[in-house]
Amino acid sequence: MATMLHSNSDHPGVLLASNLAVIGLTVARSEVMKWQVSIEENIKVPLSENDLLERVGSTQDRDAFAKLFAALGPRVKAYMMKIGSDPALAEEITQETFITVWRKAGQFDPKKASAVTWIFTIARNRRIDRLRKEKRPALDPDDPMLVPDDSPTPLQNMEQSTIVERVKRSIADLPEDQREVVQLSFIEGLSHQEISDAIGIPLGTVKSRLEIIF
Amino acid sequence: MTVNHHPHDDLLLSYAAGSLSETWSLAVASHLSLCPECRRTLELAETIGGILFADMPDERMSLDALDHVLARIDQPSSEAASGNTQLSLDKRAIVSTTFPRVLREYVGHDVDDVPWKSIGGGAYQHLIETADKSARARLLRIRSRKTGPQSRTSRKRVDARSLW
Repeated sequence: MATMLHSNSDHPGVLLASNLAVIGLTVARSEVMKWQVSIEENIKVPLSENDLLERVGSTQDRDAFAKLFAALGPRVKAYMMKIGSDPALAEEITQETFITVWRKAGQFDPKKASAVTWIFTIARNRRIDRLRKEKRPALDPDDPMLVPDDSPTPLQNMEQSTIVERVKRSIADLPEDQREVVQLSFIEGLSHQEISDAIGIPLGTVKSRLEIIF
Repeated sequence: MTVNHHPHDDLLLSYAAGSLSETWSLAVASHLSLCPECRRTLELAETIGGILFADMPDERMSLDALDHVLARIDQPSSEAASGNTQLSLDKRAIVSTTFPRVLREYVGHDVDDVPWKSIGGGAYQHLIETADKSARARLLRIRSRKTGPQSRTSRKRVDARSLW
């Protein structure tokens, strides 16, 4: 079965310039430059992490799961090591993370978070469960007592991918020392005071550097 | 319920990064249940965390890691085996009319059944047990002054700061 991609775009070049390897290609030009590309079935279109995770959730697709593991397993391990686990423990928590990913994939909602962020939060929770003797009380998104959000902000109406792109750009634009502050805060969870103590910059500077991004 | 006091971003960020202690997490999670505004802040913090996570250089996994994981997803869930699934279903059946679920599970009662202790001035408190030695959570029930004696508001306080 061939995969068909259609567009009414005035800019057919956008898709043609992408990374897709195209074998059978027909371009039908009409007066509005409509085009149609057909890709033979043996061409592998790389699936995004979102697509892979949705497949795992909807059809328990093991192949998609293996790809997701190959793509993000090493990242989860890196995250565990960054926040203080030795390689063996990091490996173990990474495996447990993906077992949870498999079991909870059906709850993934791409409108609420990207697959990468979703897996990051699962990894974070697995690590807490594993390392802490204390419990970590967490918000229950299904709690009937939850006060609903009835004032959608522009942020909420924005596509997840747009938010991610914007935040990515603003992080990329940061000078190295400011990126370190952001990393310590959002990944390692240090408080403003702890960051100030750890890298020897005044508390006010930590706060203003975080306000640039947050 | 309208919430007028909000946790500082610093607390929300630590909660999002998973480094907040049990007591503070309980206070923040209870607040989040009642405050859509802070939930949006949390979502943004998690998105930023996810982006920084995505940028990390990979660490090589062991060659048989995937095989291990695949073997384990075929086993019945340890939760199901130990009956935890049933437990969590039972928990869902508990109806809470005042407290957010996360708080209800800690306290064990809804507002009217809490073993309140009077601390004078028409105020009552209940200490919440946690394993956290760094802070103590106490739930305060304070009679509203503006309305009649039947109408009460409950407040929860952690350390000196009120998040409700």
